[in-house]
Amino acid sequence: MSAELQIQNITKTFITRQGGVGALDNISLDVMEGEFICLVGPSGCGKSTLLNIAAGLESANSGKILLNGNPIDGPGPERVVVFQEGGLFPWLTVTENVEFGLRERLPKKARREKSLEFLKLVHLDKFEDAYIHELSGGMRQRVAIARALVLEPRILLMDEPFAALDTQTRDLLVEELRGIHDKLKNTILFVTHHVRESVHLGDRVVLFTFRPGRIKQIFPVDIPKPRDPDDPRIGKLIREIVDALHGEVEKALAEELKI
Amino acid sequence: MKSAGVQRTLFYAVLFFAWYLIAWKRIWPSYLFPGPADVAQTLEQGFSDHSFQMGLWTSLKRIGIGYGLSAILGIPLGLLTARIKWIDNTLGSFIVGMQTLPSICWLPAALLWFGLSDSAILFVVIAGSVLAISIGTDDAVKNLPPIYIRAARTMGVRGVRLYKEVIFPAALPGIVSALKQGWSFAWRSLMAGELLFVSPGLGHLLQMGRDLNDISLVAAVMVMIMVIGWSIDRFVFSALEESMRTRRGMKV
Repeated sequence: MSAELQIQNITKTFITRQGGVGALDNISLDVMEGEFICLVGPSGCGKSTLLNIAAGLESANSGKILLNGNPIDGPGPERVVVFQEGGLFPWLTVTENVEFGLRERLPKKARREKSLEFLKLVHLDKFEDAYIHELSGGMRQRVAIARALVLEPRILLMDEPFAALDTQTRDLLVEELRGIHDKLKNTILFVTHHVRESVHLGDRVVLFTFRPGRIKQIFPVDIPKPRDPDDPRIGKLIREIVDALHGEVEKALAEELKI
Repeated sequence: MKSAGVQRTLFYAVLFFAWYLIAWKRIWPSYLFPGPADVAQTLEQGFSDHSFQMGLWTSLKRIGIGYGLSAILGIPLGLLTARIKWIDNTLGSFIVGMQTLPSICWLPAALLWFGLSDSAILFVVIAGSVLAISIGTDDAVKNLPPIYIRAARTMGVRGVRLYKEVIFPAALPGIVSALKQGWSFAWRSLMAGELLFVSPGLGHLLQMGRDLNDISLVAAVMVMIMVIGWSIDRFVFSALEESMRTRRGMKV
């Protein structure tokens, strides 16, 4: 079986959120259809930048990304991004947000039915007429997920989608996302710095080095889902990843404090 | 705590009473400082001989056309300067420069180009407000959180749809503020133009009051100008802003 998404020798220098200069160095990764890939690494390593390149929102200095053999050139609805927060449109209601990407594809009635179906999937069908500011942070991310899934993307790109949520809401949404992936089987690229989350969700966890961002190690998670958090294999894997991550985080910290 | 309505009513009552008192005490002669009764009488007379209606109608028609054209031109202009770098560098900087010219300074040129016609006045109104609307729109769009545009692009939206369905609605609160400011510029420009211009219109009525040495007429027209400016601001723009803020959860 060939890979659905092929990331080939991606190199890119970029300005980090903290204002420093970061770099992705020769990243290559093959992602299979339906696979759930978690990208983990210290902040500033470029995992979000890689996601943006896959989304077509940024371009690489060199290298390319292929989707089913075709090079990615610009953004497109077959690769929708779910952002950390703030990506929803406050001038539209919940349903109108979910319908947004379907405006050109479907007539009004079909659009409404389809978006309701996906709102049900994230348990928000009761809030279809609410405005975004009336929702809690967790509910907003559910809408964002429904809005992305309704387009039936080949790849769902998630950029720390639960990072701004409190722990309880986050755990709940992680479990729901797992259920949704089980049902819909989209390919998912999921950026997080939360190791526990990545081991709970991912088929493989890809660990990045700090600067320049390289793939340090890939951890396959060969434990059937749903995964029991008390499973000793999970605990062991988390420890392994955290240990590997630890060195990178220290490097990141040392650099930050020097600046 | 009293409600805003009560505070306001009380304030205007005191103001009105002070006006009445000063006029009644004859601190200044009545041909320099008219009392409420004089102004009320002038208003009644002006409306019964239809000269005020005509002035109002002429001015409102001019502001409607002039301001309408300003909005139609100014909003797209602002969208362009905000989103296309080279237009911003060239036309954008020119617009900011032109905005420093008070609109009434265009009247001599407009009179030479268009003669003593409505076109000259319309030109001054447009020159006075189109740039403010364009600059305000430009600001509103430039200050948009980039994430709206990124989110739309990842859903496959681009080109005209991106402007129509994302940039414009996202920037709408700022665009309404730009329109509100444009409105006050347009109204001032119109009044300044009409003062210097022989034709009906509120500004001209004001000038007529001066020529006839009729301070009541001057005051009555000033009141009308204020009431119109305030009503549009309050019942159109503030109402619009309020409803938009509520809907988007931007209320503080």
